Amino acid sequence: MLYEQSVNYLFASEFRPPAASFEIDFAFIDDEKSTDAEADEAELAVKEKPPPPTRKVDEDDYDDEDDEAEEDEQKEEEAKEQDTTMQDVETNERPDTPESKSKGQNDKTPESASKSGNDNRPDLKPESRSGTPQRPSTDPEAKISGGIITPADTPSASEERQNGDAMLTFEMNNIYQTLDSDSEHLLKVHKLGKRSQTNREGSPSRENGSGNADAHPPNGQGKLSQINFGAANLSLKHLLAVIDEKRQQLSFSDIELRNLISEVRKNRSKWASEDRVGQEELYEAAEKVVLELRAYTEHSTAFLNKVNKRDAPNYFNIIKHPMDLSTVMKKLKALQYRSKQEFVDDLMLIWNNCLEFNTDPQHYLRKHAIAMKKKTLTLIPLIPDITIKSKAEAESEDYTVTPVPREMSVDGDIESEDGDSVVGNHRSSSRVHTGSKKAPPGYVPHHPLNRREDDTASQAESQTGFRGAAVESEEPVTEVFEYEVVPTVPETLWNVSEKLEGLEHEQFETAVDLSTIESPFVSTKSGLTTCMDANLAELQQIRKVCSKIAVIKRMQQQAHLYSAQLKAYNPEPLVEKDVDMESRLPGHSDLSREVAEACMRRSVAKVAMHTGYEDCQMLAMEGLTSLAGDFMERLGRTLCLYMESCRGVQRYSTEDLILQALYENGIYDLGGLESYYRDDIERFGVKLKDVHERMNMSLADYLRPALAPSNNSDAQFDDGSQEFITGAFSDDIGEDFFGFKELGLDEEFGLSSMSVPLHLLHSRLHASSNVQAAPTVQNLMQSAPPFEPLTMEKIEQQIGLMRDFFISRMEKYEVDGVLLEDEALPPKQRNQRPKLPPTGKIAVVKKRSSENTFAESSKKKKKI
Amino acid sequence: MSGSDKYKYKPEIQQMMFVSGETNDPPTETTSLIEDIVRSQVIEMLLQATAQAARRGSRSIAVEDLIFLIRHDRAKVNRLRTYLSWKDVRKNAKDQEGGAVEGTELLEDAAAPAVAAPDQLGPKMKYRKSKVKLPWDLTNMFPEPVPDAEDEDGNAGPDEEEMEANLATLQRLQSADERTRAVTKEEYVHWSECRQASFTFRKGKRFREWAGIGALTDSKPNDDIIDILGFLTFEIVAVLTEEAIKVKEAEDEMEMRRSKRTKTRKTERFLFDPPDEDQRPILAKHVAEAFRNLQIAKPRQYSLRNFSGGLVRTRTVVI
Repeated sequence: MLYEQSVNYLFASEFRPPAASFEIDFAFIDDEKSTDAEADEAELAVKEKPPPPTRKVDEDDYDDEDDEAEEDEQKEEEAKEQDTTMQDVETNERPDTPESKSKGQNDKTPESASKSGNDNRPDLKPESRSGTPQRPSTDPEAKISGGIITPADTPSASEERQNGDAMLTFEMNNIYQTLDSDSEHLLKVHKLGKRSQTNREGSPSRENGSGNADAHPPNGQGKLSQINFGAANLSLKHLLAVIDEKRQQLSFSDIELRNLISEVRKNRSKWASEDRVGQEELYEAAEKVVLELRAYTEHSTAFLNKVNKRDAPNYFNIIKHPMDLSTVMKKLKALQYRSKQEFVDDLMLIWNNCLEFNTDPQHYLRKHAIAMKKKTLTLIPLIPDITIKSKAEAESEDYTVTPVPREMSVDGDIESEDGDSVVGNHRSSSRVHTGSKKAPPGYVPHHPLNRREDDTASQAESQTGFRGAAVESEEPVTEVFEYEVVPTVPETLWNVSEKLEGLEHEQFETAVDLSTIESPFVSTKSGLTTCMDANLAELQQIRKVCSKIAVIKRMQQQAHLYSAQLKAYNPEPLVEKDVDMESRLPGHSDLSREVAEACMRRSVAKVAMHTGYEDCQMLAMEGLTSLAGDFMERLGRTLCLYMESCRGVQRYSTEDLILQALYENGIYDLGGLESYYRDDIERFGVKLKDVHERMNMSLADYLRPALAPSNNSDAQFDDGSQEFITGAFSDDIGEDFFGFKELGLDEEFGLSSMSVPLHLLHSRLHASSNVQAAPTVQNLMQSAPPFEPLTMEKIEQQIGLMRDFFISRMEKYEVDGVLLEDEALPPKQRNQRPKLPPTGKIAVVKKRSSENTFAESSKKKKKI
Repeated sequence: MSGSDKYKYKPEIQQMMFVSGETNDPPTETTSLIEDIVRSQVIEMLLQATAQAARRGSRSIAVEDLIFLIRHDRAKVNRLRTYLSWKDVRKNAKDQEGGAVEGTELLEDAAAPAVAAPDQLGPKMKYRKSKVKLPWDLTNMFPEPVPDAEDEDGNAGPDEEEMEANLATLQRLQSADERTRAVTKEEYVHWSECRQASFTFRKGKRFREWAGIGALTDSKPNDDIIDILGFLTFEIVAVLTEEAIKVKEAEDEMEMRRSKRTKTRKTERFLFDPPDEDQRPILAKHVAEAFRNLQIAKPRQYSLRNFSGGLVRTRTVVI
């Protein structure tokens, strides 16, 4: 029983890496799924897994593997793998059976499975597709395997068979290992590099001792193939498959083979470097992360490339260290990262830059940045915590090398085509494992990364014969480990992200707080400031009154007013704007030149406005600002000079120093300053008030008639229609037709109605009276009586000459027995008068006729 | 040209100096020097005013151009404005009343306007409101003309600036009063005559020739300009005299201290000592020193060059 458990344990321990890798794959693949989901799934998987000893685990693995493999979209690989399986099948001459057999045997294998099982488990996965359905019929196949494969010299036939099966399955597994956790194996291989040499060499003997002499080669092959596959790119895979197959015919030892292959495989990864230990793993993972982030198109678009200065002109004022994904990639390619931390820092810099620049909580980019940050945080743990070292360093610091690389290589493998994570330093890391081998089991579970190390260690132990105790003690633990692996990773992720989120929140809060804190860049509300503010407000008020007067004047002068002309001057109260939030964020110096200049500019603008400017060009303001800045600088330097130089000779009082500095810079005495305050500010304010009063008076003068309702009565007009002139109809309409309300005239002067004040209508009334005057003059003469309409009877009375003409006209234009003439005619039938073209000259043809007639008539008139 | 020809204003300058505090008859050298200074000042003012007018786009000097030159001395500006407005009043009154005795009017000007009869007050106040408006005044800051305060009540009267001007004027009047308190009637007549001394009053032509105005300006400056120059020249002489007196006093004090150190007895004075005979008039050196003091470049002029060095160009300071 113990033995079985140990087998299980080993199996489990072997199994775990792929699971982990699988999980990681999953994380990579499924962008949408949160870590929670992953965790859940993982937990589910865990729940499923534990009950059956090994088999079920395998099955689970199958499923998972299937899913993942498929999701992994590594179709090509799969295809190739299938090819290889075919090859294997051919070589093994056993299509489906061996797999199922192996499973069945795994269940039963007490001891030898320990090795084969280790190798099997991952390898079994692909077979699940074909193998699962056949699972029920595992038992019968055992014989086949026995018959085919093994010499079966071993005392117990079952064991022999199992070994043979194991070998078969192992071979099959080898084929499929590429799918998942090459890295795992690679790591293992490398860690165990030396150890395995000793161990394996020891273990075969043990296993041989256990009774199966033939079990050894498969084991060795298994390892080898694992290694190979770990190294594997696909091309190698076939080679490895063949080698594995023909393994028994080879005279090379495992180690030799392994070395051979690892040499072949060396530097497969583009990141691989002999000199820089750990670079490969780190960079594989980092690249993967970057690609993953880049592929997160939902949110990543804004961060792909550098921020364009054109897009955000002030970006580089605020963000001192811009970063983006392409830059990260560039740095990766330039091998500029020396550790995970640097890489992660750069990534975080991207998001934090965004959050810092876009301080508005509603900003859409913030959402993207936060999403990207979360994503990053889920990905970060997948990067092994490696600090790249030169080889010499690494070797000297063997013990500091963390076990993490394995995990990282897992990531890296998934991504990189080469899938090669083997680096020279793994050998050294293996030494670490030997060191940590004896770590207490209790220490293990808390650290998922260490765990695996311990697993391998325990595995090694079991192989070397420590197994008994180690297994006993670790057996329960291992199971826990195995299934803890999955949930723990997301958990840590969550914690990290939570922490970071908290940080961000904190930052935001501080920003919010900043807004309430009195900023040093806002002038205090006392002394000169209050006076100047009051004066400025007064100025604005006066200007407002001025605008009203101007409008009224224009109303009096112009016949037509457009609403645009009636625009009221409505100044906003002046509010001193604080320095923008960005500049007040921690990390921005108070003394940055830009901020100081902005403040100075504001003050200068205030003074300029105080002296009466309504507007100014930015350039002028810049000039004034720089002058003021120069002045202040000189003042400071003078003061500094005096402070330093006077100290030795004679100690001047502070007042003297200040006075002297002021004098040197053009301020003779305090009297000047005082008179400035007295005359230019205080008295100026008084004068402003006076002017304001006077302006109000004059405005009232302009409006005075309107203020007295008696003058305003419509009784002055005899005609009701006049209300259209006065605009009284606007009362009826109930609208602010003339915009008086907008101007604020009605409130200020209590206009009783919304009609135009009469005095404003002076010019128009005058004009209208002139117009009226002209017709009255004409009316003095009696208008001629209207012509009698021509009827048939009247035509009879006309002279004979005209009669025919009239009759013919009657035929044409007669209506109701009356001849319509001239104006009475419908417009089209009227005799059209010649129209003068714009030139004022009448066309020749018409000219003659009309001129003739006109000339004649005029002549006649003259004669008359 | 002989020296007597060159210096035409000796009596006027003497009178002005007398009014400004110089009790003795200053020697000709002093008056000549002062006259030279005044002339150079007038020329400087005219040149600067012409440049200012050119900047404005005008070829002829306006009153504002001249006032602009002394704008930093608020009190002086206000005095000048008061002077101009009163001149206006006088002119209008002359027109209305068909000419009045100038002397009385001048006296009226010197004394308080309150002496005027109530019936005269009406028109006078009215004219007085037509005072010189300066472009940099507050009232010109707004697009709409600001109505004068007079609309409200008859004597919205002296605003703060006038008060300020009056303050300076009152001080001068007070000192004049102090000086004339003990004088006899004849002396007072002399005093009042001295007060009327002017470079320009009734000698406009002479002034123009003296200052070479025709050569300095393209267009002939109008009478207002000449009047202002007359006022300003008086101010210059007054300032110079006061400064020279200070210089002389300082010198006398130093002298006295030195003499005290050497022969203390002689300097001590007793009740029945004869009047101090060696009270000397202002000498040319005093005036020169006073002028130098007034022309010293103030830090304001070179403070912009602090820490950067370079030649600071200064122009003659208009006193």
